[in-house]
Formats: sequence, C-alpha cells, structure tokens
Amino acid sequence: MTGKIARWVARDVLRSIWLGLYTFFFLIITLSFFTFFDDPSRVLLSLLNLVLMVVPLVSMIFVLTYLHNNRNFIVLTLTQPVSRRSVFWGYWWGLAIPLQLALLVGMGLPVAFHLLAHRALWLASVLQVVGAMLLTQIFLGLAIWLSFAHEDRLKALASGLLVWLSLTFLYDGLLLVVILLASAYPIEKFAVGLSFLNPLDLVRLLLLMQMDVAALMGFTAEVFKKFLGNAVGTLAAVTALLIWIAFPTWMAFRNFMKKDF
Amino acid sequence: MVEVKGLVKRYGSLTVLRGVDVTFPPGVTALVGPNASGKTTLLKSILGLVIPQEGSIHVMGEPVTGHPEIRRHVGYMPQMVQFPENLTLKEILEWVQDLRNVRVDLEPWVSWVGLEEFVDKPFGYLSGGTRQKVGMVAALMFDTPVLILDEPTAGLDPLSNTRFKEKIREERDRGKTIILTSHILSELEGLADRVVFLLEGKIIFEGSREALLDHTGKPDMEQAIAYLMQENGSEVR
Amino acid sequence: MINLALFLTVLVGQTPAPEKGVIEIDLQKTPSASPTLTVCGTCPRRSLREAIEEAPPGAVIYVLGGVYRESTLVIRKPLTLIGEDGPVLDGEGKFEILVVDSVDGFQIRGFTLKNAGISFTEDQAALKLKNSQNCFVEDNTFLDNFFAIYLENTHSCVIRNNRVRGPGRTESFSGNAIHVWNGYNIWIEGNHLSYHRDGIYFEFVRDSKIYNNVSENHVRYGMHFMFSEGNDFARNVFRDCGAGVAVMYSKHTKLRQNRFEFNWGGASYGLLLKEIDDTDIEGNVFYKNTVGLYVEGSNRVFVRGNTLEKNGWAIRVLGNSMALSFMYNNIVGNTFEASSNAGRSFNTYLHNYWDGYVGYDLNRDGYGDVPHRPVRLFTQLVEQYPPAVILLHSPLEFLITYAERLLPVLSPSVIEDDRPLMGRIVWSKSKDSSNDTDR
Ligand SMILES: Nc1ncnc2c1ncn2[C@@H]1O[C@H](COP(=O)(O)OP(=O)(O)O)[C@@H](O)[C@H]1O
Ligand SMILES: [Mg+2]
Repeated sequence: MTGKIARWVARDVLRSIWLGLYTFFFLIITLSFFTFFDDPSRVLLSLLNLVLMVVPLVSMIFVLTYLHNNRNFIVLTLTQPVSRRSVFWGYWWGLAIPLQLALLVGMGLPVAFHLLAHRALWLASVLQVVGAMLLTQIFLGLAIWLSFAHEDRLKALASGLLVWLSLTFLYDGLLLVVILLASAYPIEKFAVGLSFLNPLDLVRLLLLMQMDVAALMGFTAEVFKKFLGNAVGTLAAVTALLIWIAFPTWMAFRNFMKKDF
Repeated sequence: MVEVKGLVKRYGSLTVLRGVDVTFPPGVTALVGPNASGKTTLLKSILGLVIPQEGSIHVMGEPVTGHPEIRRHVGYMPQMVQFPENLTLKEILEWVQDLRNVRVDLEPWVSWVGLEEFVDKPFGYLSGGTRQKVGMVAALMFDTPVLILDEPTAGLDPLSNTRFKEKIREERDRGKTIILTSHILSELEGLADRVVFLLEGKIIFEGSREALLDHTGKPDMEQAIAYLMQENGSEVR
Repeated sequence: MINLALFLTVLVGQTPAPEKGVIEIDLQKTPSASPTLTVCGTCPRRSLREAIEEAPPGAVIYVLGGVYRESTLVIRKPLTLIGEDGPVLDGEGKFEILVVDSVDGFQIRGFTLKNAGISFTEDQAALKLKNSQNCFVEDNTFLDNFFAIYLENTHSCVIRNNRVRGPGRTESFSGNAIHVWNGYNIWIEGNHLSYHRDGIYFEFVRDSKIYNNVSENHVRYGMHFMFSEGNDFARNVFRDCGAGVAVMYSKHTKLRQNRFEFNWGGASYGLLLKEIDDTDIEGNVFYKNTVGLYVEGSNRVFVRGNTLEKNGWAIRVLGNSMALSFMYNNIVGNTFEASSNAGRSFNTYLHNYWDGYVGYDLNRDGYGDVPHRPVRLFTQLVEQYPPAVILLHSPLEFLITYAERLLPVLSPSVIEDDRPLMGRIVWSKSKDSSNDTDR
C-alpha cells in the first residue's frame, strides 16, 4: 500500500510546476557553470553555495507547502482502509523521489556528462550530488515533522524558515563566535567536532576535503582528515548524516502515528 | 451499524467527549449540537482520525481501534473537500479505488454528478461546488454499509442538493447506516429518521425524529433542537 | 679568457632584460694544446682514477661509455673531463663520486653521475667542488644522488644544461640538487632539477645569475636561499614543490619573469620572502600556489607587473614589512586576494587589477573610482583566528562577503588600492611567451 500511495503522490508532485522550475533552474545553472568556468573546481565550489543554500530551502518550503495544501486530502486518505504507517511512508517516498529526481536531472546529469569527458575531481563531483541528495532528504524529514506538528500553515512555514536559517547561518555564526571567544586555545578539534553536528557543515567539509582548497584550511583540514581517516571518524560522519535523516523522520512518524487529525 | 461505548476524548486538558454512549442503527441519523460540542470529534473517532483515551467503537460489529481495514465499511465525505491539484478527476478517483483495492465503474458516478467534461481536467481547475461533488462520489461509490457525511450540502447548487438528498434516501432504503451533520437544521428535516443531540461532550438526546418532537412538544426539528439547547442552558446558534 | 657576454645576448632578447652582468671565468689555465688521455673499458687505461693521477695539470681526459665504479675520485689539479657516449660514474649508494678540491680551472661534460651515497654526518655529493674557481659543469646527468652538485667556498662557475633527478619524493633523506655555500659569480642556467630536497640551495652567495632553470617536484623547496646578495633570477620555473620557494635574510635580489606554480600544500608558498630588502619582483607568474607571494619583515620590495592567479592567497603580507610597493599586478581567480595581520601599513598598493573589485569607473579613465580593499572581512577573520577557516565556502562566508559588497565600509582597510585598474593588464606577446613553461 505504501508503494501505491507513494506512486500517486509522486505522480502528483512530478506534475508540479514548482518542481519543474526547480529542476530547470539547476539544469541551467549547472550547465552554464560548466560552460563559463574552465576550471571544474570553480564549478563545484559555485555549485556548493547553491547546494548549501537553495537545496535545503527549496526542499523545506516545497514539502511544507505541499503537505499543507494537501492536508485535507491526507485526512481523507486516512479515513480509507489503510494504515497510518502506509500513508506516512507513502507520502515520505512520494515526496522524496520527485525531489531527488529533480536533483539528479538538474544537477546529476550535467555533472555525470561532464565526468564522462573529464575525470577531474570525480570524487568531489559525486560527493556534491550525493551531498545535495542527503540534504534534500534531511530537510524533507524536517519539513514533514514540522508540517504535522503545526496545524497553522503560517506557523509551519515560519518554523521551517527558522530551522533553515539556524542550520544555514545561525549555527555557523555561533561556531564563529565560539572560535573568536576561545582564540586563546587550540580550538580546531572542538570546531571540527561541532561541525559534525550540522549536516550542512559536514557535507561542505566532506566535499572541500576532496578538493585543492583543503590546503587553505591548514590545521583544521588536518584535524578533519585525520579524524575521517580512521574508521571511527568515517563512521561518525556517516552516522551523523544518517541521524539527521532518521531523527526528524522518526519524530515525524511518531507524531503522525498518534496524532489527532 | 455503529456502536460507541464510553467514549472519552481529551485534547490535552480539554475534555471534548465525556463518556459518549450512542448507537447509530441503519437509517439516517442527524448528529446535532452547538458549536464545539464535539460532533466532528465523534465522527473522527469513528473514522480513526482521532484516537480516544477511553471507550470502544464498533462498526458492523468490528472494533475500530487498531484495525484500519474496518474502514472498508465506511464512506466519508469531509466538510472541506480537497484533492491533489495536479491530478485529473479520473486519476483521483482511481487513487481512492487503489486505496480500497476495489474497482468501480466510474462512468455512472461521473454522469450522476454531471462531471463528464471534467474527467481529464486537473482537480486544480475545478470550482468549489464541483469539488464538493467529487467528494460526494468518492464517499458514495464504494457502496459501503456506513456513510459519514460532515456538512455534505454546503456549497451545492439547489439541483445537486435535491439529487443528493434523493441519493441519501435511496441508500437509506437499501439499509445503510448514514450519519449526517449540518448546521442548517432545516436541511436535515426531510432526511433524518433519528436525532442524536450532543452537548458539551455528552449525549442529551438520542431517538427518532418523532420521539424528539414528542419529547419537546415542538412542531419541527429546528424548534425542538432550539428548545433542547435552552433547556440545557445553551445559546441557540 | 672566455667572455660569456655572447651567451648573454641570446638570453636577454626580452624586456625587462636581466642585467648584462658579465661573468668572467678564467679557463686559460687549461692550455690550448693540452695533453689528452682516454679512458675506456677496452682501452689500455681502464681506470679513471689512474688517468686522474697520471694526467698533468690542464690535461683533458676523455672517458668513453661504460660504468665506472671507482669509489671517490679526488681531483686536486686543473682538469677537463669529457664523457663520450655517456659514461656513468656510479657511487653505489655509498660514496661521494667526484671531489674537486682547491682547483682553479675544472670542466666536466657529458657524464652521468649516479647513486652518490646518503650520509647523515656529511653532505655527500655526486660532484663536490670546494675551495675552487673557474669551473664548468655542463651537459651532465645526475641521478639518484644524495646531493648532486655541491659548491663550497667556490666561485666563478658555470652550471649549465644539466639534468638532475633525485631519489624521489618518498625519500625522506635527500640532499639538494644544486647546493652552493659561500660563493660568488656562479652562473646556473638551463638545468632541469627534480626530486631532491631543495632544487637550488644558496647560502652566502653573491652576484650570481640563475636563468632558465626548471626546478620541480622537490620534497621541500624549489629554491631556498639565504644570506645572499645581488643575485639575479630570471625565467626559471619553480613548480610543484613541497614548500615552494623561500628567500630569506638576503638583499638586492632580482626575481624576474619566473613562474612559481603548483606549490600547493598545507604550508606551501609560491614565493616566501622573509627579511628581504631592496628586491625587485617583476613579471613573474604565481599560479595555483597555496600562498602566491608571502612577505614577512621585508623592506623596499618592489612587486610589479606580476600575475597572481588561482592561488589560495594571492599575497600575504605581515605587518612588519615596510615600503613594499605593489603595483600593476594582475590578481585573478584567487580564493583570497590579500591578507595582512597589520593595521594600516606603510606599503603602497596601486594600479593593480583585482578581479574581486566590484567598483565602477564613471569617468572612464580605466581606473576604479572607489578604492579596492582586497582583504575581505572573512579573510581578516581567518588571519586573526585561523580556526575560523572551517567556515570557508559556507553560506555564512557568502553572507559576510555579500554584505561587504552592499556596504564596502565593512571591509577591513589594512590593504587598499586607491586606483585599481578596471581591466586585466596584458603585456606584450614576447613577454608572455617567455613565461610559457616547457614541461
Ligand atoms: N485537534 C484538536 N486539538 C485540540 N483541540 C481540538 C482539536 N479538534 C477539536 N478541538 C476542540 O475540541 C472541541 C470540540 O470540537 P469539534 O469536535 O470540532 O466540535 P463541533 O464539530 O461540534 O463544532 C472544540 O473546543 C475544539 O476547539
Ligand atoms: Mg464540526
């Protein structure tokens, strides 16, 4: 049943004009970056800005809006002889698949075509696309959680924007303040540790470590690479990202299962 | 047949249903009561949308809680009808059929509500009243023994309204259990066989239309209900 | 007397020309009708050692193809060694190969010297010249030696067109390709140096010319010199070395039309200047280095007409530098254009082309109407609080930089170019082509 619901949701979402625009936007941007910049690392770094800012924001707003526009229908779905579990996962997949497809078409395809021609930075390129997909999934989970936690559409949107702002700018702002305040101490390890708590920082640093710019990050890069170099570090990075996907989804699921609609 | 026993529902500290015992036998039952008396909450409990703290609900003799498949017996039309905007009417009705694992011939239903020309149009194009009709079809087309209709006539044009009522009577005559709410009591007049009056989470009156009129000594339902409200210290709405 | 001015005319065809310094090397001590000896595997004389012992001063020894394992050969008289058909002198990983001690007039051509031994107590070299003068080291190949060419208390030498390849990056104990300690009037030209510790190492070296060498893939520095004066470096390529090029405690140096490139690593510099005075840096290209040009404690350094492209930091200037003049340079595509730990400095930055400049030129005179501040707020944060670099390429960095664009006063004014150029400076074709690398 989950599959059936997911297919119908995905069919509806895939026809959304906004999703089309999002795909088109990435396609145009990625292609023009590849055309205008001779240097693949320049392309990746410019795309990184988009991936870190636009992908989470769009995922968040898109999912929040979709779920609120379809709230009454979701309720109707729940009055049919299907379990809440199926409805939840149906919507989770039904939203995730089109959003991921949008990324794959908008960014993955141009990057893949470019990789066929030039092998340069293939790991970073793959990480870029995978990172964007992970962030999509993370913000999808957050958005579903927030959407069902707030009856009011504006409140849900506001809290979504707040979460986005916090992870995108605020967290790093606080990290910067900590670094400035603790300037008397060797704070690199602590800062790297803190960066593991924010998926945006983690995705960004994982990508940067695969690129030349890592050399500009001196001791910080060393600490990060050394940590990632051992099994515990890699496990921590993967776990951190998975938790960022799993935790909001789990909270959303728990809420959904016992919610009064 | 829907049986509700000892139903208690609290939203946080707000108790909305305070031990509701009520049976909806085959026939048309109007569920009435002032605003915020818990009508929607009761219906949602039957539909499994709201999870009650205490009590039990049986539909066609089967317990509702924890058994989503019981809802195959129930058709529901919500107060606010809404469907995915980018899907066509046909797709939406197919989706709902998928949810029930039941195939129904759509054509008679579509022509019944006169929506033939909209079948391949995205739902987003449809007007309010048209949407309401789609909701009606989605509730009725599975020929379920129980129908729950929350404010079904709001937004319908007079012709559709008449057709709809005809259909309800038809279904009643086929022995279905139909639960209706409406804030326009006159709407219920020609339709309801029984009345359940809910006030502040308690059943104040449950019985046939005639019993209600007898009990209150009023000529019609509207006045009878108004009387009941006054009796119980409530404002007429 | 052989006057090398002839060679110079070939070299200086382009502007700005290296100074027409004349290096005079006195080879008259080799008589024109010198006695000759021949060494080869099938000759009567099979040992180079014996030939060296027998040869009268000023003799020419021809060594024919073959591998000669004769441990360390010490030469104490003027000699000319000419290898024909590529004779190989093998140090077998144990010995120094040739030691020229207190000789006035020594030449070696056409040899391959390989496997000079590694020693942790002394600088064992393939070819060591000490207390000598008037020497020619030309067209030789040096392979897998600890040190390759080593000059100690030696002056007036030409080291030209040699291929020097060290034991490789993995070797943690490798010596330098060309090492000069206490000398002057040394001409190093057209050599290809790779895989040593340092490509060119100078300590106490005066008035020498270093032209057209390629020095790459060294473990540490492509070139490293200190306590030296009056040296001229032109059209060399220093590429892909662990730490780039470091120039320290020296003065009156000219660095022109060199390429410093791909010196990319945690602590790599295209060109590091430390306590350098009165030095000209002109027409060089700094490409893809972690730090293009690093200046510390230096005075009167003139940086003109250089291109700094795609470096991490184009320039980093420490505040204790004075009277630095940075003009007519192209600063393009760098992550950070400039960084300085100082307050308003006593240095001049003028008429450079910065591609990070977002100002405008309303009167169309080719210069921006508002000053350019190449040190961004984020750059300054990283300079003062290095761990802040963890935010590199983060949305927060983007936000800060974007805010600076809207409100330029937010940018630190440690470095300011009052009249930045609106377009990239293009020099004449000949000059550009002279900068082309020949890998
Ligand atoms: N999901 C909910 N959370 C909290 N309170 C609710 C919720 N749904 C309804 N209520 C409250 O319960 C009371 C009864 O509501 P409802 O059942 O909709 O009454 P009616 O349908 O009779 O107007 C109202 O006070 C309403 O505010
Ligand atoms: Mg209601």
